[in-house]
Amino acid sequence: MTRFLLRRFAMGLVLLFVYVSGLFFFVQIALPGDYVSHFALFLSNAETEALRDQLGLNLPIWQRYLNWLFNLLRGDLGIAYSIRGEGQAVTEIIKNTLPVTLLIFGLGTVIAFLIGQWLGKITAWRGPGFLSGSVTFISIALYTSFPPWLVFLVIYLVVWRLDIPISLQGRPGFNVPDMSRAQILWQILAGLLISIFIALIVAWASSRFRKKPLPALMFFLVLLVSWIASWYILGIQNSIPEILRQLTLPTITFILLSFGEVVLIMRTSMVDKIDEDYIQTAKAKGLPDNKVRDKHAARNALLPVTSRLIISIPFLLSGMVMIEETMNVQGIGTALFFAVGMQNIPLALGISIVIGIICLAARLLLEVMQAALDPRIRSGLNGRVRTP
Amino acid sequence: VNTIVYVTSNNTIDQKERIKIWFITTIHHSREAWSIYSRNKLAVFGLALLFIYVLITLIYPALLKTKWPKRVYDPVVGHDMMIFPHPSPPSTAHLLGTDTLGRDVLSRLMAATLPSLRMALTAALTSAIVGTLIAAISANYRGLVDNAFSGLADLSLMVPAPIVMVIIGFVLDISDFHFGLIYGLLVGVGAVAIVLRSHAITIMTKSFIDAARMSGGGGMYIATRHLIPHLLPLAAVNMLLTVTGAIFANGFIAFLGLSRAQLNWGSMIYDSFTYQQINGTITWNVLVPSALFISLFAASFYFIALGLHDVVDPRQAERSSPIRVKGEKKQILKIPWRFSKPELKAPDIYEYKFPAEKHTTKEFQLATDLTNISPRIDTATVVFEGIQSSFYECFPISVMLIKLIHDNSLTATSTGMVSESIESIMDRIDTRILNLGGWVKILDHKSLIASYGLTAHTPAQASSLQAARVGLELKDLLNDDPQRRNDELINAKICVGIACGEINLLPKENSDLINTLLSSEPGLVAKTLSYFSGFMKNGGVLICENTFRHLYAVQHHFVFGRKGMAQLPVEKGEGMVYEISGYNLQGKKNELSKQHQGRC
Repeated sequence: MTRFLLRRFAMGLVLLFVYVSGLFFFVQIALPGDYVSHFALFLSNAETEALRDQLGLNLPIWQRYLNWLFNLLRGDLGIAYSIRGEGQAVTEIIKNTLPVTLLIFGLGTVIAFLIGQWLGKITAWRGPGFLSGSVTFISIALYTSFPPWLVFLVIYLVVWRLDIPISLQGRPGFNVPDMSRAQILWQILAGLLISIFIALIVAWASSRFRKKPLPALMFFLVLLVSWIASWYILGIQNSIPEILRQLTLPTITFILLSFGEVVLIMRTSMVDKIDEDYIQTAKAKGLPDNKVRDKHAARNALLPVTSRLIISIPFLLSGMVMIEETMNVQGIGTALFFAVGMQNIPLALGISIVIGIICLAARLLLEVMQAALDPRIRSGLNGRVRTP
Repeated sequence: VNTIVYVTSNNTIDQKERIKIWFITTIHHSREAWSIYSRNKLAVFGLALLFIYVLITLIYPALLKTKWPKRVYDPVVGHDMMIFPHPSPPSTAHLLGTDTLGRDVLSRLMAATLPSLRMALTAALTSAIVGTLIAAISANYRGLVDNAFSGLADLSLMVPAPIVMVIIGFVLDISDFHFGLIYGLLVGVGAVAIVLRSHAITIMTKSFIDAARMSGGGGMYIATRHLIPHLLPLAAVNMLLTVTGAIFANGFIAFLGLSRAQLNWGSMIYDSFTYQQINGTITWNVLVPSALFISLFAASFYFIALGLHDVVDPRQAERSSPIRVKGEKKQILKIPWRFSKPELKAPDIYEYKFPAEKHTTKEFQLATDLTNISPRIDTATVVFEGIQSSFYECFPISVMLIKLIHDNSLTATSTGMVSESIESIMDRIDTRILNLGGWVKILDHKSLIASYGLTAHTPAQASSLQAARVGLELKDLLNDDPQRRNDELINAKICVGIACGEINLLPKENSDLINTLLSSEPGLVAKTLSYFSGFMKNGGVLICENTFRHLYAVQHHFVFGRKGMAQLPVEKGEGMVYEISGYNLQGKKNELSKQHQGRC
């Protein structure tokens, strides 16, 4: 398992390098004009040239590439272009915009996955009926709904009809969010990671000492309690309501957008499993119905869902970016659009790298999960492949 | 009840008949596929939806020419002076009302259908073609090419295709056709290729690929004739699933106001939002229909994909099979559609005509199907007519034959009719098997020799591989019943597989072919022979001189027994025969008994 992870990781690094290099040339060559030409109307010729010199845009492309690459190897993503004096460091901008995206995307994906697989499981197990039909209808409707339209509907229903005050600006473009908010978000994220760790330890201890696995509900309760506790320990409890006010709506929209697909895959996969012989056997042994459903059918049905999710991650992420753009969340997607629109090459490259890394990490996580779910894959990873 | 299996073959099919057979099979297949597809109501609904969209694109130009005056109904500059104020709610003149600028909403919706349809179809086709090609190439050649392509696929998973498209649309104003092309390329290299590649690799392990390879099919031939046709259905499913992403990305570009020149459902929503910010009224009559048009358009492709998925999934097909035997508990007989229904109810005579030599899969399917129903057959008479010794026919038929014979001998053992039962059949088929280039002989009650020295077309490796395969089939048969396995397989003096025949150096234009065979097959032969003979406690596999020379390179995998002269089935005169055995399952070498030396 460790060897597999290391190999995947090394492979990921190589891919990342190829990706980054390809991206550099693609962005430079495919986009017409450059950063300076956007402001050409306001600047005199001499000023334009001076700015080009200052930003290093007059150098040949391979030299720019090598410079950028060496900086990258040192962990320096460069400085975002700016016409007024010294620009901000790209790492700084990413540091400020990443936590919102991570929080919404990570939390949203996990919740969407949990809800989706649960609904798919239940509806497939019950068979055709009112519940199953309506759940399927809703999931298809959500899966095929145009993201901006969904955003509009959610805003319309929640903000205008229900009169719940949620701060939503118009469409003012991109402002780098202030540092303190980003810091608080990072702290929330760190708190979440630590709480997951604590909950895992509690679950492990429960199965080790009580000889009983921790119920899923208890797991989430521990998670929630320790997360909330972490806010108080870090001393950020006062800013939580404000952050909640800003993030709840995008998160809910993201969940709505992504859980339909999970429901549909889980349902089809589960329906396939119900006819299997081992389900009959499990029922014949006299196991309670929900045990057969959860332990025998659902566990097997989850495999195709996770493998499909690996492929869907980029698509979920782009849905996320669409939501960010329409809801004007100052996240990494908005920053990316801003950077590309202005041809702010270092910023665009830096953000693309971060998105690539998120995709890679999510994929690695799912692969580990798949190995944990499927003993066949696990044994394959350990090198014990059964001969035919 | 006597059930007779008539197996006839007619190799002299002319072009006309071939086309007829192709036509009939296609009709049958599509009918079967439709019966599975139409069970899914949503899939039928999706097809109807897509049909409506196509209809809209066809009707719209005509409608604009005849019924709707351009001045009022033009999707971009039309304006109705008779109505004030705009936006107006639905009326008889404007079924969905007008938007803030006084343009007819329905007309705009219909005008945007053609570009969207063109984009979606381009994206779907491109992704399917690219994905299938990459999957076929990497499954066929493996090695470096495969690694390169899977690296590319991994790479594309790091770049979300919709985001790339939005970024491209940000800077370049691309047409819907180019949009579909680029999107299809991105997704085809990535997600679709990943799914299809793993499917292609499982296909490459199937026996019909081996058969094609052994009879001299090159990589290109196998890829085009066998691999790609099997990949196409799954490719269809995946290409339809990619459409959803493409539609949303396209709509989103339009939504961001980046491609304003193009009329698009996304841009209609964007316009509506913009005007709402100006005058504060929400134009529901624009928003809801355009959102519905986008959603239903995406949904129609998704539903069609659902239906196609059912068609592709073999388990679904099985579940739908109408043939169920009463009294037996839910047992489903898998019998090819070619048997008509009345015959199935009272199976007295199965008559099966081999249509053409290249339908290997179907024949193999038939062979296995026949063996599935064999408990119901009392005596089997297998008549071959007009068979040429082509590998396509030999392999499935001989598998079927061995199974039938073996089954009958075992059921007959209890009634004490062994020798008669087997030998009476043997008498009848012996000469015909010789025609096939194969040779079956009974040594005593429970052992038989199957030997295949095919004709000059087939190299020795292929024959021995084939013989070993038949032996494996036999072993599988016994494996089903642990009692039989313990009693019989271990102690059976089965001596299977004299591989003989010459390695013919073919004329120069075919020299590439013989190289392929020599370079790729021996390893497989050795593996299969070793694996098979490992199961036998007594006896081993007899191989001929040529095969022996060939296996000499991998001799550490085998135990070599005695050698002796024997009459080889096809060749005239005697030839040297070697006895070999592989490792058994515990990793020990078998001890060869000395009983069968030189008896062949």
